[in-house]
Amino acid sequence: MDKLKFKHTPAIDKVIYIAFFVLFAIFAVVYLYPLVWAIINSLKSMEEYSNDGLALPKNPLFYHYVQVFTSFRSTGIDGTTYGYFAMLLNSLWILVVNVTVNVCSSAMLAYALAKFRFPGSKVLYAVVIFANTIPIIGAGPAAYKLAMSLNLVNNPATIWLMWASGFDFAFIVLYGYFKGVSSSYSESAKMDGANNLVILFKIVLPQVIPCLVAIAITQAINVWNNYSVCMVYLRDYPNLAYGMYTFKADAFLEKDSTPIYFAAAVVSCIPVIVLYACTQELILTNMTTGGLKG
Amino acid sequence: MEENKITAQESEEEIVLDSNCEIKKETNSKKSSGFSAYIKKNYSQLERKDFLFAYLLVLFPVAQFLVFWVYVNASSIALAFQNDLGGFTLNNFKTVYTAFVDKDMFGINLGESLRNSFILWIIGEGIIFPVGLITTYVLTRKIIGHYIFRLIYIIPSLMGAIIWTLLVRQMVDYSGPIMAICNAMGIKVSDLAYRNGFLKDPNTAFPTLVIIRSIMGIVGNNAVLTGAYTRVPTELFESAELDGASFGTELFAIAIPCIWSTICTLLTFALCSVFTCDYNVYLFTEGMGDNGTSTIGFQLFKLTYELSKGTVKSYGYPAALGLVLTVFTLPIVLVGKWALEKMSENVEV
Amino acid sequence: MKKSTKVATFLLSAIFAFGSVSSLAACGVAGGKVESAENEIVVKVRKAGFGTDWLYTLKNKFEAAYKNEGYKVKILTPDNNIKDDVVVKELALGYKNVGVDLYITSGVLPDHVGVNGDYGELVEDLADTVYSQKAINYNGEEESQTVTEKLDPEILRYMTDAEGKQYAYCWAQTSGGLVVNTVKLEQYGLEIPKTTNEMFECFEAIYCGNDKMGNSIKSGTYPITYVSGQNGYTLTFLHALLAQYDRDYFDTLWSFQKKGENGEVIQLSDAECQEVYNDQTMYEMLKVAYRTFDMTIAAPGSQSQTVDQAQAKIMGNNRNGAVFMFNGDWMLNEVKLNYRNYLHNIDFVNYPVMSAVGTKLFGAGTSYNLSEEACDDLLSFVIDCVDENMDIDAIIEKVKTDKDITLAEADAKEVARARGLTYARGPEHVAYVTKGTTKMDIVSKFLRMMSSDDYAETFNVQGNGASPYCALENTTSEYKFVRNASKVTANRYFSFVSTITGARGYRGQLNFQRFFTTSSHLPFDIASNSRATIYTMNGTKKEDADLQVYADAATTFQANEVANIIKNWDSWLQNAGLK
Repeated sequence: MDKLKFKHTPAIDKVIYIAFFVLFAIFAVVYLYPLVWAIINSLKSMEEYSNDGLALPKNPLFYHYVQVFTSFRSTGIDGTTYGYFAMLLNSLWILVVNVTVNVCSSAMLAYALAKFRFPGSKVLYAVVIFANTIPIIGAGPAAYKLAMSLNLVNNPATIWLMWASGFDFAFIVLYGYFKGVSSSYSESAKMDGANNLVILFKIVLPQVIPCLVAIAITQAINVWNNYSVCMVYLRDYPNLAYGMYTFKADAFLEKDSTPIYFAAAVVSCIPVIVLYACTQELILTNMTTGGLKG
Repeated sequence: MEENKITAQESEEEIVLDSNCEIKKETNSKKSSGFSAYIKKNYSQLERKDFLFAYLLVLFPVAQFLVFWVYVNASSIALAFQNDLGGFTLNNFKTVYTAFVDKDMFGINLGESLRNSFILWIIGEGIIFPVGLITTYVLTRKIIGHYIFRLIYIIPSLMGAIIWTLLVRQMVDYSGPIMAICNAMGIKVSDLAYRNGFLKDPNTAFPTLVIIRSIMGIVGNNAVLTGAYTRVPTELFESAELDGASFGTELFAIAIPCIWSTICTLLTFALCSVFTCDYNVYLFTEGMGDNGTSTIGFQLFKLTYELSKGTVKSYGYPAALGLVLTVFTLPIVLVGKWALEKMSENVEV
Repeated sequence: MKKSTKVATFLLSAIFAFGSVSSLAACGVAGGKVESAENEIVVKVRKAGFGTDWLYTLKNKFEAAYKNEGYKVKILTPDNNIKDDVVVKELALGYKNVGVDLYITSGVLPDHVGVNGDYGELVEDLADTVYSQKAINYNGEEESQTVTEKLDPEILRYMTDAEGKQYAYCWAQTSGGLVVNTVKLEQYGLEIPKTTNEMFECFEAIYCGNDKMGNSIKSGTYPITYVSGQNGYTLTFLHALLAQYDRDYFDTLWSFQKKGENGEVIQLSDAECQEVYNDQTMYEMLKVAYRTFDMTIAAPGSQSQTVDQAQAKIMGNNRNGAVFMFNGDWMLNEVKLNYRNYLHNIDFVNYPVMSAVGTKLFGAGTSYNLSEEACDDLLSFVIDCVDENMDIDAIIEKVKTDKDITLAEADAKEVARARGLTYARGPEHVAYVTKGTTKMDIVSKFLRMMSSDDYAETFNVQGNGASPYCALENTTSEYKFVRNASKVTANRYFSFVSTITGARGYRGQLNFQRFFTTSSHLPFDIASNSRATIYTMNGTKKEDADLQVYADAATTFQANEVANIIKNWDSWLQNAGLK
């Protein structure tokens, strides 16, 4: 699509677009203010912050941003203390494993169902759609009970298994994408005697990489910020999001703990914002879905 | 072994499904022939060669699904009828009933949670989603600054629920900017809100959450919708513009019909989110769900969390609650889904 | 776009490789054993408000006293609190695998160790090795008294289980009480209140009046602030009020047991349990609670703030600051990092005594037959004497000379008991010796030295804390907060209540927050029910104000509770964690 050209637009539309621009600008301020507020308060002393959260810092304490890496910590059930980098490590491996298994799982299922006909494929598709669109409520405790009996609580393997579902929204997106990929190349390759793996890796995957990456990044952002997995299932492996949740409890042990907390909040969201800023176009043009009919 | 079981089971169902959905004639011929004959008749040799590969691809997702979805949901249903020792009981449902007419173990009335869930959901899908359709469209049409706007709007999701709710809580606190604006403009707020913030007044707590949720959803930051809009062929808009089509025409006559199937898909997914859209009530109220803010999603998360901490011991109550809710909402969802599918078919271009 | 795809793909595959390796590595991580020399004991301590200076002093003194034997102490201070799960988990791993001889914890309660693990299997019984032995001073010489003799019998009861085994060692005594910003209080020309009525007078003077500079409430000083949510500081005050008025009722409420005529323990029947709220003590407590936690007079934010935010309102010159807060004698330790310049501004006293205690003892129908004001006046006067640590005879004599009232000995004792009573967290500060330690001999000597008077002084001065084995008045601290806090535990009438579970048979983890059925959060319920009935939001008293509203609210609350409990007895038991 071309850039919006006002000269071709009727006058009334100009007004509409200007109104939207104003609206968007106002919302942008509303969205940005909390972040700005966090930055302002991260530079204050505890006393200054308690006295007035809205005022600007008198003497900005930039060293709070250094203290994030030395003072910000969380404790696991076994008493081990996790500093910033330990939590970062947990965040990273949880993210990477989760995204990989989840996207692989969805992609394998989507590829199989979109490109192959085999006995059961239609039923399987119907089941995926059913599982996605039927509200089965309150299975959390049952899942926890199962995890307990499988010894998956406080066990890194839980990420490999419990959150590896292929029956999710990523499937819907990928299914549509695989359907849209032309079969002619793979068919001719097949004629030439290429086996399925070769076709998958040499022909199909290169075509769907943008979509896979888009889904992976979206999923990665969700996982990066997911505290509830660590809260319920992996308390000995706190990630940064869970660390943010528990840090307040130890507020007395550190001078200016709350401002440092805000500094940690700012620091921990910067990589995600940068990642998203770099890949926004990619995500937005590739994350889409059509209808649900097989 | 697992795989074999699935195959056999699903193949049988396949026959039924095919006989229902596809050409009637086949049904008769199939009855007389065997299973392998059926396979031969319906799948080409090339396709049959790929069976193994396809099954290998679906093996892990299906196994995972069987254990962590089918088994979990089945055991959840079983738990609803069990007491703590594993014996049969209907007491869990009695507890659910008490929670509806009186209070649950956290002192919260379930009817209130249910009402809140519906309000959040209806506002979210009935008002915010349509408005979001329009704003997303405007952003996709590359209004000045669209890249920056979109980046800013995604910040809450990028920051994550913990940090974002913490910051937003400060905004609506008694010492936050909203209160300062109210005071400066002479807007009268209730005594409770004035002293303790909007989330501590039963009259404003839940509306505050609704407004926060609305602000988060109203501007077009929906990745899937944006993706769909960008796929609408540019020529359609170009020719429309040449014909002097207005903003409204372009939006309602071209853009939205073009992405109608995507909209229906999103709405279908939204249908089953009614009890999961808790919008972080747990974080906003620090796990209390007080002042009339509790939702079903909040209740269920809290129950799971308390179970994991060991403060709540009964698996039966949440299971029974989930079962009751599922049974009551399933028909609504099915009808809604069917209607959406019909709409999707009728408008598809 | 093409380029960014490539970059993203590369990045993702790079971190995937890293992620799969580290997730597997995470499986293998396990706490290693602490190595120690043959004559060296390993002590793991919670780094809490007391700091750890005192422990290092003790270590040096201990090592010096046993120089010939060559005893050494290795101190481990994990950054964060050692929580229940941690200690129990480590204890369960066994001495061989962990190598820690002594855990000095806060909040790891004896019954937790008992419930989560097999008590006797995890920790050593200290009855013979520590409790029945004599304390050892810094010179390595035995004191005249045994550890048991030095310990408050009430605390010892918490440390002793049903079979008489004493697995836990109490190492510190802390008390709840009233924290006052005296600088702000003096601006209004007020004195620290000793009875609840005096406290309410202070509240009204601060809220409705002007300070010496002529500033009204609009300048931002409120009478009181507290912590939102189910916070213990507020609730401990309410516990103490109940016990001030009637200690036996307090015990009945939390144990469902009563004392028979010969002191035997009788279990309450179901019907009696359901009526357990229906008591004058509860009513009097609620009346005070409704008036204390009236949201109108509390500093803004009191319903939504955390502990540190509440403390910030007491310290410093906070906009929307407050004069009073219910907290504990440990508070100075908690605020000293962030409010170093204001530590001289705060003071600590024991909870004010319920004025109803005075009315009960001296009011209409008693031999004194005093008016309500006169009752409170007399009560306050006696409390002054109690705070001076005078004995009963001296108190009676002083009342006779100054007030011309002949005080009965029993009544004087009752006031002294009520004033001396506090909510103590001593039973939560417990230490454990790991089962199977090969150095029991050294550990027991270490603990016996910890029970000495010498150590009490060290802990007093360096930790701003009180030893349960020797209550000392800290006269040397530069902070009046610390000096006066030490007076509470050093007072001859000191006694305490505690609702933590222990061997004494209180019900599991029961507290007001679980106990009341009407509201999941008592203080908030109180605040929202009583608001703006006496005072307006502008810092004035309503013209037709009637204190009866608090009494009515208390009556309603009580009646609702009883009705709810009777109606939902089974689920109530479940909610309260009794079923």
